[in-house]
Amino acid sequence: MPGLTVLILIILGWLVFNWVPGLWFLKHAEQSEGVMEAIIQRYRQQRIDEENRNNREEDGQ
Amino acid sequence: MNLHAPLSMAITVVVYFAVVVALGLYASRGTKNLADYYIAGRSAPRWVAIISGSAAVMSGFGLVGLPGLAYAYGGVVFFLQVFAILGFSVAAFLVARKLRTLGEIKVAYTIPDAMALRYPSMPSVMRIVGILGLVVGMLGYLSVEFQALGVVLSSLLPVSYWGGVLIGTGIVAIYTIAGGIRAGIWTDLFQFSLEMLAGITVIITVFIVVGNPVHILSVLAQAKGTWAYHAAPWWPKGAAGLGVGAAIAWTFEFGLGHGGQPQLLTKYYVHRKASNTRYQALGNGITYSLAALMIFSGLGLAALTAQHRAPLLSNPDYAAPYFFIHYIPTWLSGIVFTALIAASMATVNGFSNIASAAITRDFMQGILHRQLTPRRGLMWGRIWTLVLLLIALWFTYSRSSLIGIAGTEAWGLLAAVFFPAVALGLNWRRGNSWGVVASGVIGVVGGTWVTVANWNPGGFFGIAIIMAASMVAYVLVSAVTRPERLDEAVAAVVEMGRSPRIPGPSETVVADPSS
Repeated sequence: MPGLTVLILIILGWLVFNWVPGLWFLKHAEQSEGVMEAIIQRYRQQRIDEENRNNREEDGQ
Repeated sequence: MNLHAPLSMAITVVVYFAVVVALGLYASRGTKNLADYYIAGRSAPRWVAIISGSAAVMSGFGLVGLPGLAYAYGGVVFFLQVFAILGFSVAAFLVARKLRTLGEIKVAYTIPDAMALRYPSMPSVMRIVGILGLVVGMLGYLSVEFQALGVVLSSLLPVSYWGGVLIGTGIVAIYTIAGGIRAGIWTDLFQFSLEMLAGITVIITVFIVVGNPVHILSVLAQAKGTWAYHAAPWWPKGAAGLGVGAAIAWTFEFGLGHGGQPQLLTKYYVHRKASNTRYQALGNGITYSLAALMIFSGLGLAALTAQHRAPLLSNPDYAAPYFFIHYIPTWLSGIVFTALIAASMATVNGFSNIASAAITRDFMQGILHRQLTPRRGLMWGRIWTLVLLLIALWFTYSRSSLIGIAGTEAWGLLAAVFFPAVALGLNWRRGNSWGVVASGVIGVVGGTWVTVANWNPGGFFGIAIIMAASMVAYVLVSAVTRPERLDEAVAAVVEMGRSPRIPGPSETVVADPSS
């Protein structure tokens, strides 16, 4: 059944090239999410302040 | 080349144009400032942002050009398409979370913005490298999309190739200029859904009309002349086709290159929450894979032609439109045919946005330090979008290569400029601005030269050599020049994933403004 063989190869290929790295990345991202959230919590105010400052300067023009 | 499509297909396409323009104009109502125009106000829901990224990569190059290459050269094209699926995971791992986090803690709307923050010793030079890379890469990429629009629309409507180019460009210009990326991501969702439907329709039709993939390959292997090479992994040495060099070059270019594609990287910014990027690899891979099934239209048509069941096409780029018009049931063909148009339009929208952002934000605001009110910023964004589309149209006149080959060159040029600066730079603390200058010069100058001179030594795509050279140059030059002194917040992003905790202020050095 060559058609079935090809179908199995396609599914295996998809697993190897998409699902395996995709799920690995998902797990990796979940594990390091605490660090990412901590970085955002610590530094986000810098960006908000800068955007507010830019908006005030633009409004003042 | 009019392929005598039924009237119902043409009507469906006209209705599609109306829906896309209406959707784009409706979505554009919320566009009030540059952040809205370029990163959709960081407000896109998870799957909208992910699908928009897939749509940015799956362009007319992939949906029209690759079936054309599969028709002309056969199975070797799978090296490109299969490794393109893997490339999404590589890009997500190297860039997605870090770039989105950077956008959360710093004012970063564009890729040159990220480069200026990551390499603070020469922010203006970084912006110039980014702008040059974006504009040169955009010209190459958009000309590919315009070619695809010309092929698709002229095969369907009673218009010439150039008539098709102008109609398609005019429609995408309307909603892009009006709504920027906010309009783009919502039309992407609609358009990429059509592309996935088209991919599924093609594979089912190929099974019914031609047979399973093994049958297709055995038909081609037993056919006379060069058709037999279509069944091989690559063409033999000496045959005027794509040999093992092309297969290796594609593996490298598309396995790694996503991390240097600004049209994809920019879509990481638009996520509503940084944590939503965790689904980026899986989501892009699944959705792209479905649309990528389109490649079987070219391979299936090659088998039909080898069996004398279909005429030999003088221009292989017409393979996908021909397959749609002649083998997919009429009631369905009009709907899925629009996917061929959608692919190009979504990419034209994405690219013209980021290139216009590069000029408005990075050049006018970042380098010339012009203060722009939200209204004036939007006005300039729209003007530059129009100007860039017109330049790209003019550039399209000078092209004559197959869409798939031209797309390979444009992809490689962008990867040569941006992969070292962004994908390597966000993960390797030692990388510095001199490294970006070296890799950027090689990418822009070398990439342009390779494209113009059509330099492909030994059948190996020259642009892949340029991409490798730019990475090596980035590493070597960075290693022998002074390290970058990073801002504390940016250093925390670069170290993210390597260290289980955030580096404290005492562990980083704040950028020295005099350096």
